Amino acid sequence: MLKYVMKRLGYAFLTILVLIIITFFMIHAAPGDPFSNGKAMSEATKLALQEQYGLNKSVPEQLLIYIGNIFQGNLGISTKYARPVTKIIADSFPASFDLGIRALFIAVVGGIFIGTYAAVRRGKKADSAAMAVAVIGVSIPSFIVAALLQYFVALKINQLLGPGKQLFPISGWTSEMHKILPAIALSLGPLATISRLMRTSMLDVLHADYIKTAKAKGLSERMIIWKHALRNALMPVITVLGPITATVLTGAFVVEQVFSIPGMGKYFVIGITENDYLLTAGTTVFYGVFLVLSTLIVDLLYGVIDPRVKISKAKE
Amino acid sequence: MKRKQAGKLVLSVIMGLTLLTGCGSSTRADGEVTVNLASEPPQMTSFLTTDIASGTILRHVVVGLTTLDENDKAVAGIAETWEVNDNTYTWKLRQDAKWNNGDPVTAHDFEFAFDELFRTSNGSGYASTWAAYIEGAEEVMAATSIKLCPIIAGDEELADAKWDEENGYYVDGEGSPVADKGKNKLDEYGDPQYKACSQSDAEAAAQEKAIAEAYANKGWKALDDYTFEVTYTGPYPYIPDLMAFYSFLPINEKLYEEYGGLEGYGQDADKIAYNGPFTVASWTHEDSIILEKNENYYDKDHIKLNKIEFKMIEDSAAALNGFENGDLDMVGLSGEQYRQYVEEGKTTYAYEDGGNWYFQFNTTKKPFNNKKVRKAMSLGIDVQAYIDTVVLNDSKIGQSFTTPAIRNGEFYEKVGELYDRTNNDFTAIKTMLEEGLKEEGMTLADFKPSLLGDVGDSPLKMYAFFQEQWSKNLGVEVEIDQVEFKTRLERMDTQQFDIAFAGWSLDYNDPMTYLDLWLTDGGINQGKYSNPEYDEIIAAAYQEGDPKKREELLIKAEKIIAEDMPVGVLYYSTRNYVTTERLKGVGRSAFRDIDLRFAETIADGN
Repeated sequence: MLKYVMKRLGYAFLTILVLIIITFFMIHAAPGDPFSNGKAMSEATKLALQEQYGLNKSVPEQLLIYIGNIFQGNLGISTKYARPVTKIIADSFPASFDLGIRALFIAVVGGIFIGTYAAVRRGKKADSAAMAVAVIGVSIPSFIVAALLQYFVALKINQLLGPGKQLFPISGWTSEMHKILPAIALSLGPLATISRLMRTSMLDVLHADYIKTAKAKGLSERMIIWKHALRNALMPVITVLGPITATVLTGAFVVEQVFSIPGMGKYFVIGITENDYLLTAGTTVFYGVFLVLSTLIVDLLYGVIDPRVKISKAKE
Repeated sequence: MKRKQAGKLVLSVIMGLTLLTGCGSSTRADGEVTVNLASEPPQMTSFLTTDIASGTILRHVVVGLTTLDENDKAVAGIAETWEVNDNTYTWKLRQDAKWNNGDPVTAHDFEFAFDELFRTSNGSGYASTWAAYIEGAEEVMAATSIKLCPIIAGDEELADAKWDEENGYYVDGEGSPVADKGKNKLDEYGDPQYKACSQSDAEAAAQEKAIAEAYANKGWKALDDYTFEVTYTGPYPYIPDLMAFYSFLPINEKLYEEYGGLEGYGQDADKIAYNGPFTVASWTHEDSIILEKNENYYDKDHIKLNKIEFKMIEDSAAALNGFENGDLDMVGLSGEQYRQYVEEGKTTYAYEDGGNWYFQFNTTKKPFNNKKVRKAMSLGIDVQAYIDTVVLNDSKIGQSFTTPAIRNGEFYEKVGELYDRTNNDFTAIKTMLEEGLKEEGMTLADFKPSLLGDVGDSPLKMYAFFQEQWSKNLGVEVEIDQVEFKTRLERMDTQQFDIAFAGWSLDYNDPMTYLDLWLTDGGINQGKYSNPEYDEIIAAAYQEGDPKKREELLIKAEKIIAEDMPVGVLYYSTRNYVTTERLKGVGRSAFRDIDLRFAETIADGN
């Protein structure tokens, strides 16, 4: 077990190293200059800024320095915000994480529940309804869901309640109430994915022999589903959980923007549009580490959910 | 049974939520307002600031030599009075202004800020613009430039590049900058193309000496604690306006160092020195900045607000929802939101933001070297239809390059309407285009220019409108080329475009803020327009002390732009906003994007 984890961590390290190298060369290949802003700026000033941010060295040289700095916990300074990238991430990640955990909770619990329910009621109205919801969840982009929730559920209800009263705040990230609508908006996509997966996988399991045996033994439907079928049906869901977790927890640009949440989603976008090399590299590395770690945790979870999976052999 | 349970669950959740809320939407006390700043201020070190959001916060917390009043007029700030002797201003400072640590605001704070503004190694985006105005500033910038050598391993053509002291960049044998000439070539070695030259000890010492010498000869000095003398390079009538600009705000050197200098200053609420009407009480990045009344401000009796919360809500729909919910006292309106408010009969406010939007033509490229072609392409658009269908507010058709935001429209009125846009018959314009093309040996059939613009759906709407108009009115098929903002700037800088849709907004309250753009070596003259007569007129206007004669020169310059059309002026942008009834006295103009220094709340507005 420990040996397996160490081996995986070693691979993870290599993966991230490759990620950094590719990212670094790609962002430097992008057209545009981080310091141009439409104002007349002398060549000398531009060169001075490049010197200040260490951008006057060759890309491989910058890469080596960057990798060296990462080990000291230094992700460099953002050219757009003139603040250390680690500080920007440290300031914004908690909000994204908080939002993500809530959304993930809704998505996992709701998705498993809806998927199972639909599978059990296969072909009935409940199944169609659940899957219709799932299709809508997958196909409607989260910014529309977010905007609709904000307008109808927050603003319109507040206006119905009369002046000075409100149920949901419009935007911001200060109280528990602020966090409900964004979490719902963010959860819909993953919820739909999970419920569809869950339904398919549950249907498979329900046709398995051991379920028939259980039925023959006269166990109640509830017992069969929750105790015997669910565990097996969960496996594919667990598989997608790794990437979903990483995506949801490291910032959802659109939902964060609509609800004015000071999360880190926007930095992925700003880093690219502003040619802010170190901001892009820093957020990408952070996301990469997160992705690799959540995949690892998911792989370890296989063993917990299904004792038949021997993780030390799972990867040969 | 299951369904029932689910229903019960939902019901109990909603009940729980209702209990949780208890108190209603946030109500603000008298003298407290919350407004939308829309974006995070990225640079609060005043001599490095180049953006509007940072400028807005700085306006409320730091006062310069002069300051803009409710009518955008430059009035006494920290400088109580000033004497003008030729091009030298002697600013007499008031003695009761204090920094947040209790230190008096002195002439040394201004001297320090000016020193740092022009220290090239600090990388101020405005330094090269302002250096032309102040004696000795260009010399300081040249001396403090880091000497950089191109990374050119093994390339003989560039290996003999020489450092041009005067301009601060490398030039080849003919004296043109290497960065421009060999750009693609240098790119093969990777971007960027320079590294710091290795300096011998003697060279380093020589540069030290040159820096010390440049600073010794600078045109700005603290004569004593409360007298600051600046020698300008010409009799510019807008010096008091210029000194109100954020680049020239004072910085207390002691606090600057204490707060972390270049690396740390201005990054958090407790890392900004202030001497103005408000203090920065808190700053949650990407969320909000809270300003509180500064009890040590010398003019605090005139400040009526106790607290201002600036929210950073970028999404305009979200901001308006917040306004309608009563969370915000002021928000900006997009074109569509403005239309909706007008239809609903609600009160909105408008101001011209000084933005001038135009087509910029690449005059180095055929057939855009021909002014008939440039003229036809810009006049071949029905701008009013564009404003009505795309911009969706009351933005005005551009009639000269200087917008009416300057000097309350005085200059604009005198220049008059230079473009005939009343006629919607485009046959004459089409004929002009064909003539121009013929002069360049082209025909309408092989004229297939592209329009360079920014990415996004709403820019696409604008470009598609132009595309359709050109096709319909002139029979020209234009291709739309949308790229990221920074890519567009780079393409324009390197003349890789035909027509670009671009805009410029003013820096200070004088026509020169627009007109000197089209000098041959103007900073954003990316179309490489050059007219010696124009250059002469602007140079003469720089040195003209007589306001009447100066104005005549500037009007002449305007007429040349209208005749040559290095750029085709389209429209001046207007911004719309709404406020709650409790908030009064909001100042918004092209020079003061948001100004709440004179604002107050009234009790029964809610």
